[in-house]
Amino acid sequence: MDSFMTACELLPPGLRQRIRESGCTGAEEIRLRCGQAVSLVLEGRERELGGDKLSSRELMQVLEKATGASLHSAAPAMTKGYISYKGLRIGLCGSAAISGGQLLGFRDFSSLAIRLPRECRGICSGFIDELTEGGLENTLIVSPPGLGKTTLLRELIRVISDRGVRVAVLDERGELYADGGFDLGRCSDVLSGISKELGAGMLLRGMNPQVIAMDEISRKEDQGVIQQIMGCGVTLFASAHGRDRQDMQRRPVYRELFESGAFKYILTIRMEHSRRRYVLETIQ
Amino acid sequence: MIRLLGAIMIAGASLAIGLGYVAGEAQKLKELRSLIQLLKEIRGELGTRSTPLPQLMELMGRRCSGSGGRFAMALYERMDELGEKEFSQLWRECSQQHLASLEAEDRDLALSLGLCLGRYELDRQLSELDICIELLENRLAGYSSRLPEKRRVGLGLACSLGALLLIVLI
Repeated sequence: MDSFMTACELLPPGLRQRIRESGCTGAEEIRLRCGQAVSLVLEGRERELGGDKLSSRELMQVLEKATGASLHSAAPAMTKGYISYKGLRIGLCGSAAISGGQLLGFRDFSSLAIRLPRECRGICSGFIDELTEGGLENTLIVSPPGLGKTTLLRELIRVISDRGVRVAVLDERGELYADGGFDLGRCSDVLSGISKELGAGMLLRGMNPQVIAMDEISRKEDQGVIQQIMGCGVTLFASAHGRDRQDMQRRPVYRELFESGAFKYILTIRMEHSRRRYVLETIQ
Repeated sequence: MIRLLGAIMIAGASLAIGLGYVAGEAQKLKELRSLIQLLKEIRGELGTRSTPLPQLMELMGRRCSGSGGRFAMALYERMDELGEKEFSQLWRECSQQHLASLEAEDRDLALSLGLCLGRYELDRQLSELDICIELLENRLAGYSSRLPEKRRVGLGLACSLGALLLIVLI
């Protein structure tokens, strides 16, 4: 999947041209802000491309393309702060429309952040043997936002799956599989667009998985899902926002999980000298 | 003989002008009815299923007859131009093409929906649709009540003009 080109097709013609001409195909994000020039995030840093300042009309045009001019149909996703388009996640900011204390959607949009997922083959090679030595164990991938948790999880799924392990992918936001845009290996089964609570039970009952993989566990309710998976003897690969093991242990949800022995490994992504470093630690 | 032929031609042309005018008025009414029917169907579908607009327009194109259905199908076929053009622009271009017989005020009312549909929260879209349907129905009722009179006046004027021309020329 060429996420850069997919993102370009979302943009109005003038903007598309400007971004293509920049040649920054390795961009991690495209940031569109009303009243500012378009900028790209490269290796964690934001770089303004210059040119005309963006109008709310151009932002709306991007959203029209992303939703098929049907923001009302995307409303359930919008209440979570983003919409998906062919495996891309578009984060939203603007003035919210609230009724009865519930977010209905947005009236105007002031910022859009288009995140560009990518496939990075080989990034697991430095630790995969250690991770799989003596069988697969529950593993939590940890990093701050934007460092590549989803990319690493996707590659891990692909590698394990190609080794003949049945991996059930619970792809709540459609970013791991991107409607077939990414290769998740020959033994992967993907359930997308469904909550973790609903999806985990379905996969356990129906797909007989050896591993269940899910992106971004963060809520109290996710604890129940993890216990359910553990109770069935299935290995879990998951990811979560955080700096490192110490940072995670300060938070009640993860501390409880670590204390209950839910995860054996924690795999941390760190940025050192503009390069990503993967650190595998044993929790138990 | 030539005079008689000329007289017949003038009378025929006058009658044709009169009938054309009456047919044009009837066509306006038919198009407006079709548009109102389309908007009611859109309202129902959006209100119950919150259907995305591309699927909605395809459905309407199949379900609705007349110019309303043709308009919806044309819009559906052009939905892949989103990104190049705004939805409101596609809506306007399709309405100019397929709802051309409408009075300018009626078309403006329909055009205003193109700025709202798919863009705002569902409740607001539905209320805009309700307002538009009500206004168009009021206008349709007015046109319908005036149609017989317009028919008489149109035909009468055309025939009188023809007769006057005949008297002057012959």
